[in-house]
Amino acid sequence: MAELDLNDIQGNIIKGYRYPFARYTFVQFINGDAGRELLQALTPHVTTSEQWAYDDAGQMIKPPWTLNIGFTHRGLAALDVPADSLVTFPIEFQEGMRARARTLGDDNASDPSRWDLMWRDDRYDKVHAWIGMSALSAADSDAATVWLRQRIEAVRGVVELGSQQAASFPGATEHFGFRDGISDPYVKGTPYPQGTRIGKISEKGWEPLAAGEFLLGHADEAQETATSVKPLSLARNGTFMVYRKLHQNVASFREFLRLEGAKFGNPELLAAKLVGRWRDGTPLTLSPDCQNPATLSDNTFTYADDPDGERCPLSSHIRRMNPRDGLGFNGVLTNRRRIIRRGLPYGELIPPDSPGDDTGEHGVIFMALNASIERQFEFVQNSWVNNGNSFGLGKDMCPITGSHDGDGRFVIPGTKRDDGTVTPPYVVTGLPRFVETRGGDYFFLPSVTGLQILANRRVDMR
Amino acid sequence: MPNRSGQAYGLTALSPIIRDTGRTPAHETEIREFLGSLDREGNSPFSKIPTMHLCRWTVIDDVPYQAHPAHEEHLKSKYLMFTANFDGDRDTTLALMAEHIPDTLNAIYRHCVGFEPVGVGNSQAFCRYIARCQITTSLFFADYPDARLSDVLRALQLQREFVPMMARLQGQSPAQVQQQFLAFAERMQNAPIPRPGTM
Repeated sequence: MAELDLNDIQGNIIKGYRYPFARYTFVQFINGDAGRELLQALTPHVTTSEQWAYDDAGQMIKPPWTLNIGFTHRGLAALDVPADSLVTFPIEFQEGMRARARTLGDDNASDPSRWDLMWRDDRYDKVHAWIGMSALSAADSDAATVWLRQRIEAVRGVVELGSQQAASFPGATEHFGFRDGISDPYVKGTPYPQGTRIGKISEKGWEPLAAGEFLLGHADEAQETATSVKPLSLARNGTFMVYRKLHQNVASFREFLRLEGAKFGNPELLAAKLVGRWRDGTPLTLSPDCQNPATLSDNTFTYADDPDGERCPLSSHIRRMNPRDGLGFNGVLTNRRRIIRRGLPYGELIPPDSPGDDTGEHGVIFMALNASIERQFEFVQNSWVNNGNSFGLGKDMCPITGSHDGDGRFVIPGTKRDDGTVTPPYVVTGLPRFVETRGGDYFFLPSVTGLQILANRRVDMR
Repeated sequence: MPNRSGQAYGLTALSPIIRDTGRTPAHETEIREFLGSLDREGNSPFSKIPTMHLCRWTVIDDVPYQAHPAHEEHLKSKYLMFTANFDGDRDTTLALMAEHIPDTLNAIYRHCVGFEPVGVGNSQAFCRYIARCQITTSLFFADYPDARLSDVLRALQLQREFVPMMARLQGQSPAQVQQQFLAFAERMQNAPIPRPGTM
């Protein structure tokens, strides 16, 4: 397969920027002309996936800030994309995330009626575009925001609805204290070093995943193209992004670990069993008894040697999000359900030795990239996070991100070691909801070509 | 072997629906209306049949035309299809249906050609009627061909109660766990089999 057109594909899709600061701004186009005027001003500055050069010291030369743009289906309509193109977009994207609440388990505390103000009622309908800006420093982030606001204010008829700041913590952890963003799909046709990215398992070992799993207009793992978005000039090299603001109940999580951990006898092991990794990212599959920095760079582990979850429980977070070969058939059942995870924590870091609180503004901005939201993100959320049947776990949900209501269950399988040591299984009951949805939507991230087409009203269906 | 997989029987029957264009609502409309009113949860009429795993009735209007170069074909009649997967032999389950849900069968099949109402003592007539309508189920997949309905209900009951029991026993001494496990096993063995539709 040919190399991908890296300078046509928006950045942060097939390779993460790994910037410590970000601000996501949401805007409304009062009319199509206003939207196009803003796009014409922004498109030349959009950051692509082009490879950044290295300086003499071997450091990658990163721009101080980046710029990326995505649109809701309402936003595409506001930009006067013709109806015969609009109807070709996948139904879940047309409906938007709020309408998919039942599929996603966004109920009770996560119910859309309780989302942040910007995502509620008729305000939700006004969200037309997402403008993502990552930055190397807080000062760069401020400068980027000033730059963007000048361009928004220069256009009569574009309204900034709100924005969301996010920033990384030392050690790339999130609020529960685990290192995040380790595993990342490795995509065919990209020149980047593999690092800890993983593709799919084959007879020859690990191989990159087909680009069509993450980019429109390319062949995917089934030798198909994922969606029928027309025209192809608008679709090609674009992708879909799920944006979710996920609140974390830090106090509940810490209190649970303290109380249940005492019963279990080892709070840190219990924490690791819930996630599938120790706090520093060490996979339980490779190091079941303790953190082991030596294994950190090895992300190509499989579950073939741990079919019953004696090391990494079947119900643990990472095993649900990417079961690898754990469902059998050498991993093929997983290859079409992969997502690219981006995003950063929001809110202040809560000192690890404090009880924390549930009510403050803290959580993660979760962004998932995939060619089919319905087949990839929604399937993972519906069948692997909020159900356990695929893993032989009945209705058990993910202990970290599942939509529990104080009734959740998590089973840590018993173990029998080669030295004869036997540990009985341990069952956690009464799990509360640790993570709540506070808003978000589904966005289409076009290629640079696609942005030009939208900016110039040149969607040509002929 | 057609119609069979292990001890399970796969039945397919196509019953022609009476055609009467001078009548509104049409017979097939009335069947659809009645089928749509049936309870799909715990009080489904099928929950009264102790051998029934899965089944459905559905109305087949015609063969859909799939455009050139396909031939345009039509059925001679509209059909009511009954597909079912149950334990043991065919006539035992059909007799159980005639015995336990005669009113349901009459309400549905009175719209079909050649059906005689099911009443007390004539369950054999229903068996003969369905046998006449039966077509061979040549590709029959049964998920658990050797487990009877009672086995499946028992297994689901055991699954539902086992993990909570494990959670309750956590932290107790091995002797206590064993004692309570044996009591649990005995209680499960003697527990009544759950009613179909309740698990």
